[in-house]
Amino acid sequence: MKPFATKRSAPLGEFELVVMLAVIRLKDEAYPVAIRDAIEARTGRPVSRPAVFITLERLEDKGLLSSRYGDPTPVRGGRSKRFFSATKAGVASVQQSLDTVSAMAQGLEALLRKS
Amino acid sequence: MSLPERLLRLALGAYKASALLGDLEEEAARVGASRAWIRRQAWRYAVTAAGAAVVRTKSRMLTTIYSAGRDTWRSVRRFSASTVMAFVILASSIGAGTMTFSFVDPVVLRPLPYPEPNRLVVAFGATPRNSRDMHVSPADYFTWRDSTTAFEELAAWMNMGSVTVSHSPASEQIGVTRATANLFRALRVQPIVGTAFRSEHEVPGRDDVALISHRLWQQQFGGATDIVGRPFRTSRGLLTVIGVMPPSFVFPADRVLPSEIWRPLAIQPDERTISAASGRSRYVQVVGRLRDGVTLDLAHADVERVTRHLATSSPQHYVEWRVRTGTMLDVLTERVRGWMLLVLCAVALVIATACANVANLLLTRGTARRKDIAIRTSLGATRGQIACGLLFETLMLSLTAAAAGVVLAYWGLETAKAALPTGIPRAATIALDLRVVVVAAGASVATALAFGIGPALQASHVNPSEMLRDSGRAHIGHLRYRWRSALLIAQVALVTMLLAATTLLVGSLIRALNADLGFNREGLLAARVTPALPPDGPLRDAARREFYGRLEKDLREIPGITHVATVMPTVPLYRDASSSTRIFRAARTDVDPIVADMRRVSIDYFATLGIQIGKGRQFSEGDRRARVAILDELAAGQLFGTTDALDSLIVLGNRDYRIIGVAKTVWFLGPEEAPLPQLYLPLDVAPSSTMTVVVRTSLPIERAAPVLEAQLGSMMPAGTAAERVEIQVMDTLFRQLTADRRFNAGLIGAIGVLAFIIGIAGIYGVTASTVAQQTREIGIRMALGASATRVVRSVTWTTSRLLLIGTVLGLVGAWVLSDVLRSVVFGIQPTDVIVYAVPAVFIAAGGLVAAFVPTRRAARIDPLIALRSE
Repeated sequence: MKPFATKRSAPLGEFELVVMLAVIRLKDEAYPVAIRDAIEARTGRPVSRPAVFITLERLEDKGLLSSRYGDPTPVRGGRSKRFFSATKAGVASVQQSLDTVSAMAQGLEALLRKS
Repeated sequence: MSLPERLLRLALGAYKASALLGDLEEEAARVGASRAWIRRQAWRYAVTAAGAAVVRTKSRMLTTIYSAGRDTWRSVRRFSASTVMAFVILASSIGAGTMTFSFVDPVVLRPLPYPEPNRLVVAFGATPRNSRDMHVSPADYFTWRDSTTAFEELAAWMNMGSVTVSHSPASEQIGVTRATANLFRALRVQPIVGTAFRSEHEVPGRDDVALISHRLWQQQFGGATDIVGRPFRTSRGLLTVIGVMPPSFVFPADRVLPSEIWRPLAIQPDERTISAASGRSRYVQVVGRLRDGVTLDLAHADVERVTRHLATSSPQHYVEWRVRTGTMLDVLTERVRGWMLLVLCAVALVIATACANVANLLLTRGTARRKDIAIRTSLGATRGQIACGLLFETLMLSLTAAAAGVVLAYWGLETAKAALPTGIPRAATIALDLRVVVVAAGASVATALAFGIGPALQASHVNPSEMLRDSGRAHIGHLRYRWRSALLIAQVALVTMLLAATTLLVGSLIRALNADLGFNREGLLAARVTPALPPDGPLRDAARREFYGRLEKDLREIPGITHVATVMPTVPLYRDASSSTRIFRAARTDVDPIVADMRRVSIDYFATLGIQIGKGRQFSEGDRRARVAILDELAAGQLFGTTDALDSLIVLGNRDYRIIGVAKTVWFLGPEEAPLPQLYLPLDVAPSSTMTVVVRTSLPIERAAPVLEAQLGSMMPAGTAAERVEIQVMDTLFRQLTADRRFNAGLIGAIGVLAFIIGIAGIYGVTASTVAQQTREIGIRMALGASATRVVRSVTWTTSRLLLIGTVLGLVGAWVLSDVLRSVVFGIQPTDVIVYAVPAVFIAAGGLVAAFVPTRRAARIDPLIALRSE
């Protein structure tokens, strides 16, 4: 049994959702440095490296992400990048979370905008 | 591969770890960060990955430990004032304790490195002038050895200075000790290679054999197996090795340059029995091993009986001389034991203060954290998890503090070793002691555990919902409040006691340093000179008179030298030479003679040293050959019962001398040892070629000393070796005499300051956190109309009451303690009001400020904010 394995239908946490969305947005260029940059750029809040890393690990354990290694590059001290991509289950899970949020938010736009 | 990288590989596998590090390299290159930045980030990853790995194992124990460690780290990072205080207090007291014990143990407490060391006894003599003249004559030794029955073995030995050994690869100075063959049987240590020397080697001419140290064997002879019988060259001739001592063998234990060559003590046959020639020359030391069942008292009586017999057969050699015996360790450490143990007690008090202090801080913190614990309990944390978390936190606190303490101790020990007065026995063995580290750390851990976990566990019993509802109110149980008050009182009392002891010791040091010694030592230089003058014969007196007359005259002409005098044998404070004599009162057989310290002095002696003449006059030119004498007030008082003894007659030898003056008493043994009565006679012709020239200069002493040395060097007759002129600065002599005392006062002073800081920090910490917990209450009172002054007064009053009780208890303790101190340190005045006033004022003032600051801050808060606190 995989650690952290939960039922597919278990909802994503907020940060997990953010990370999933960043991976999907970056397509083939989704490796930790780029993912963290993307989150910081879009949300405007600082994100710790270990937090991104541990979330990616967890999502991969859950089967929502998969990873592969690229070619080594000199700027990285001759080390490879680890690229992440969303699995089918991952995309579905993101969709489900977003649906949940929008279903809950429906009709509240006027109220939410006020505060 | 660096350590974090290794950890990452372990937790994640090689590929993932490599990719992560690649990410870091890339980011570092982008922003221009250093390797150190990469390493730091790698550590963060490693810790996170290790945590994830632990969670993956699904082991409850590992997970609990991990989360406890994480919580600890977070709480440390929050830097709560009480945690920092507890850390500082623990670290400094562990440091001080470890340092002091590492220092005192090898010097005073550790048994000597021989089997059954308590049965090793030394016997020596004491005179009124020197309470521990360790040397006896060979005749004394042989008589003791042959006529006493208390000893299994009685051995004699003497230090022989050093020789240069230049076998291979470089030459070095090696200390030499000569001993009788039975020394090794007495010590019960035998060579590991070869044999010890035998009594047939104790004959002049057959004594060129040597036992060498293990180190010398290894380093100079490469550990050669055929070492026995091998000759080796030293600066004092050829010796043959007959054995090698074990690596741990040390004898004697108190030499600055340790002895590594032991040779037979060969005594000339005519010195073996008491005779006119041999009796007074005392140069060997004696150590023996008691027979089974013989006590030190019995042995002492035995030696004394034999010596009394010797004294009746030749009384002239045993005037004022009495036997002393003691266990080897006691005699070796006699000089330092008292004050070293005192310092150790002081440090024990500091550690006790620190423990009380930390206990109090942790109790306070435990109270503050009840809410925290309640929240965690309500979120499902088990009692085990909470206990484990707290255990971890306190352990981490005390262990890191212990580590910091060890670093402090190491540093302190190095500093103290550099400042150590000379002649401390076994000083070379002073080193950081691991056992001590373990004990000190253990004590701190035990305190932290006892007081850190108890209250918190108690809190976890509380129904969380009640606790959360109630937490707004200051919630200090009555029992706990009492505990905290008791601990505060205890530490104030301990600190007061320590400060009183410090004031006593520092006060007596200041008194000693400023004591009127009866002469003015500033700007005073003495030189012992041994010029190469014609040997005995008709020309001797003329040559000496001519030489010293010219010397005084030439020295007077040097600019900056205001007074010159010559004295025989030597100036005050110089303890290595003496000349005591008996003085009788003329025509009065009913008055006992006194033993006085005699000096022959030139006319200017009193003016040069600044010794006041109380009655009568100094010597004048016409007195050179007259039978006149000057006594000091002590001698005059003892002999005539009054200081007004002018024109009275005294008898020296068979001659009458008329007293022309009574001088003020000079404390020539230093401020701490009562002087003998003194007698001054005029100096006409130098009675020996070695004399002491004493000079007063108006120049700075560091400039005057080399000038004097150069001048004296050039004035010496041809053929006088350079080392025959030996310059002594009087102030330096004085500093050497008081070195132990200054070092001791310095240590106690440092410990006192440390205790004071710890005490004040404790008062501050406890008041601050109490006030923090009462912020809401203070807010209510102020909202209801209490003025800030009133709030401050009421909180400060609570602390002042505890302070007062603590101080009074401490002063009572100090009063009891002063009796002990008086038996250890010379010249203490425990009845001095200042001794009690200083600590009381310090602790009261310091404590009040420490209590006032946090209270004042709380009282300044807007009541609305205060009410919302927590």
